[in-house]
Amino acid sequence: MSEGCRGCTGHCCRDIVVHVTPFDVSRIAAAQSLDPLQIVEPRETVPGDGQNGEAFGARIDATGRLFSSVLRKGALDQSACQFLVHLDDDHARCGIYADRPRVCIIYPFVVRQGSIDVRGDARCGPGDWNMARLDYASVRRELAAYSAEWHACARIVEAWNGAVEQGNRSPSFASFTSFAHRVAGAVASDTSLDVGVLERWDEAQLSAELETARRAWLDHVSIAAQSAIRE
Amino acid sequence: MTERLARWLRCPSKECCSFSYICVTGDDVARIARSLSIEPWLFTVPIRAPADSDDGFALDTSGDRFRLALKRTSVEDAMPGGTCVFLARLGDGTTRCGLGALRPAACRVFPARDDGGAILLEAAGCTCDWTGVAIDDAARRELAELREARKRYAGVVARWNAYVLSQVGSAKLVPRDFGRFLLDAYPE
Repeated sequence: MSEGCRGCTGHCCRDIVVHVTPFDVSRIAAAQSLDPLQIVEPRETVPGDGQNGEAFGARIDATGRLFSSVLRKGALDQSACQFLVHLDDDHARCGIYADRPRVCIIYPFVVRQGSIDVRGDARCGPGDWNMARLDYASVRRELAAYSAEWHACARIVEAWNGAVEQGNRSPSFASFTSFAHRVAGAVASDTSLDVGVLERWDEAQLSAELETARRAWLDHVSIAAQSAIRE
Repeated sequence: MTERLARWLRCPSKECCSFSYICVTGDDVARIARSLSIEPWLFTVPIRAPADSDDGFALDTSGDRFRLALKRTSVEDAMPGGTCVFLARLGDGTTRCGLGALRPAACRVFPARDDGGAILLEAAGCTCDWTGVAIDDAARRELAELREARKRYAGVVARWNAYVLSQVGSAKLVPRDFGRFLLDAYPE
């Protein structure tokens, strides 16, 4: 467990809506024997949700509004992530820690001015994160993989929205989630892909080799998505 | 993933996590405490144990013995009498174990039990259908590990009890003292 999370009371699991990718959902579904719809629910996106400030989400109804997938809340405490385990008033722990979404793994870090920092709206207590003791290499790898999977998620959503617009798919959250789950599963099980590229995704100095690998990985996601559309 | 594990994971109600206290060994306590960075007294409770049980720890010289069990949620929870504190209740009402791979050895073997050398898949109170599920190698290995863990734990408890009995007239010990003793006895 991360050092800064040791005294955690689970504020981040209560106060923040956890947006996840199909890759997160697939990992949790496999580890917990859950249907993807037991894990996520739709939430309408707002401008700024996307990496470049655009509204980013899937079309799941006829209105044209966009929705992203967020972790469902619990049955007993509807303000908390459904996977949060409450030990007492002062202690809570993630019930899927080993399989938690990438956005939870990287929390509360961001890249600011080229280096890692604690995000300004972090719910952690003062002094929870001692930046002098941070494993920067590990956090940077996780941030890169997070970024890579969101780029891939964008490709999956793009393919889905295109299919909806062309009338090839009826928009619903259940069918989008099932589609996204199939694509994520196909990508994850493809052993020919260079998954090492995920951990180097955001390298500041992009080598030609890394750029090619990134493009190949994303193209593969698009191909898997188009293939799932045709199924 | 074995069929036994898959069937247990899919079980929506997890009666096994609610119908009784789940007793733990020192290995379980140290593993969960260190992995989740939570001190033993925050997730365990002492429950009464028979005076002659080899996992029964003393807190004074009265002869009373206690076992460590995973804490339970309060009775106001949706399940009468509460459930294991680590049981997560999902939005659709189904449940999942919040400890996952960290769960106690007694939970990992479930519902396998050693009946005088023969391994059986059955558990009182469990409503799952276990017919057609084979005794897998993991069950044999986990039962053997549980036996070893209990043997190791009995030695640690005996050391603790000897210490307690040597403290005649001293201040009464509390479960937290035993929890600290366990972390010391099971180094990282």
